[in-house]
Amino acid sequence: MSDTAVDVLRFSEESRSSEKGSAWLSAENEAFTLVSARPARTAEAAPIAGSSPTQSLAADEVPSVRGVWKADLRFPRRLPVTVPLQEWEGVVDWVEGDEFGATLADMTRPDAHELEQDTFSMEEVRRDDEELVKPGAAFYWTIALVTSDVGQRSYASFIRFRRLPAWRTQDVREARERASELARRLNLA
Amino acid sequence: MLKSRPQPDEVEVSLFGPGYGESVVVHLGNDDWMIVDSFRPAGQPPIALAYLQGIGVAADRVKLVVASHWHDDHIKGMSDLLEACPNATFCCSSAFRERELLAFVELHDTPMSSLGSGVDELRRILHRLDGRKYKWAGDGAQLWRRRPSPKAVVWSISPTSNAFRLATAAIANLAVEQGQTKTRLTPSQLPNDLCVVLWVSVGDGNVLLGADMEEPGGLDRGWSAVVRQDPVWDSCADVFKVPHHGSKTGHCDAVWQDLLKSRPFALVTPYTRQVRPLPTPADRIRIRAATENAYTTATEIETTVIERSRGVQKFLSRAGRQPVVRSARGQIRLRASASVGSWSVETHPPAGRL
Repeated sequence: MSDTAVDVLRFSEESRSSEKGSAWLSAENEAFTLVSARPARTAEAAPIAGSSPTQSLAADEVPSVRGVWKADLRFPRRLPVTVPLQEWEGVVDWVEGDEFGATLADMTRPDAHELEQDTFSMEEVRRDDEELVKPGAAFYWTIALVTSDVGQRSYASFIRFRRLPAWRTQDVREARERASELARRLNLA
Repeated sequence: MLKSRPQPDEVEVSLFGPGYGESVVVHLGNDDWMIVDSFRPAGQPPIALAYLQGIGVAADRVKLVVASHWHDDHIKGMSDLLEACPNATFCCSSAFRERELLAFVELHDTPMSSLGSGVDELRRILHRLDGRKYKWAGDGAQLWRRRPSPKAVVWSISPTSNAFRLATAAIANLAVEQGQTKTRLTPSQLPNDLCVVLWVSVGDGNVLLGADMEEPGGLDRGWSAVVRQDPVWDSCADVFKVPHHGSKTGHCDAVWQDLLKSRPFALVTPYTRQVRPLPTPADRIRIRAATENAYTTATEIETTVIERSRGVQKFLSRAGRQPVVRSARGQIRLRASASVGSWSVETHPPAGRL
């Protein structure tokens, strides 16, 4: 175990035992994770509450990945949390090369009537969805605030194509029956 | 939109096309009106109804409502439009008399997405035809006629019987591909051969409304088949609604040579939902070379951005992307005295010369 990791653990236990540290752990988990990964000399001197992890880390203070991982073993991770901020339902209008264009209906504002348009890169599509990207395909596009297992918050974009069930023999048979009934009502021979 | 009502002896053709969607309103004289195709601006009634209301025409003066075909951009809001026009005869392609095609429509009875599709709209219409007057359009079918002055008649000159047979077979094949993953229906899946092309004569004025008819090649399909049929016209048209948004796929030399007068009024609606919007620069050049009287419903398409929360906006900005709403509220309006046949043109921005 490196010096960094040992100091992190010691520092963390001290933080947990103090009232101030406990409050900070629950409310500012992302700050804790990053500050706790500092070398010991910095961590002990660091202003804990209210400190911003990005502000207090200098380039030469970036912890080793190994150190962070060991610290995390001691403090079980939280499950990542994804909070959708904006969601559209889209339909692919065209596909060309590694891009596709789509028409979007805003699902976040159900009373919205305007349809939007945007262009997407195939890189944004999950690999196992790529075969679904063709004109007429329906998908959902979500912009979300994601809080990672270590508390890091960031915005993310998710595109999920709908996998609609294939036509069944029964679907076709029932459609033909309804068509016959419609033809009868319209006096079609 | 333009205001003022035409005189009883005036024929009028108004074209609306915001970049996605198209609707034609025609005054057939004597306060009789026809609407061909429909689109509905966001959260508003179909544009044709709004226009008629704006110039003080009651919806019960609409005598004919025609669905030229079932593509989304030509039929959106048509079921509501039809309901608002109680005296209108509904007309669509005779292809829909075919059981296989009806089955295809019925197979799509559940919309694949909240965006709907033209087939959803058509299905709604077909299910509301009980107790209404309706006609099936084909080559040489007379859809409406008025004998008193000014004489007026509306003919459909497509789909031709051969195009009808080929397209129906293609669509029937679509319907029975079991095991195929469902998608929302798109124009590329639905051939344009089944379009209803209209020939409208009011007094001495003739109008050719080209819908989205294309020229796929071969003498028995598309425009070539339309031009070769026994003519219902006895003189050429002064006004041409250019088919398929000015695309070269809708161009046929024989139409310009045999069906249109020299330097006709050529009216184009743009189409923005594809990688290269229509009409392309080359399309504009081709149409302008054919007539100096070429107009478009939108010389430019307005783009607006929906306001969103700061976080979402920041993300979109960082990602270098921005969903936009594209629209244009232009109108081209042509009028002529039915007896003189001399046309005047008005445009409401952003409509203008092509």
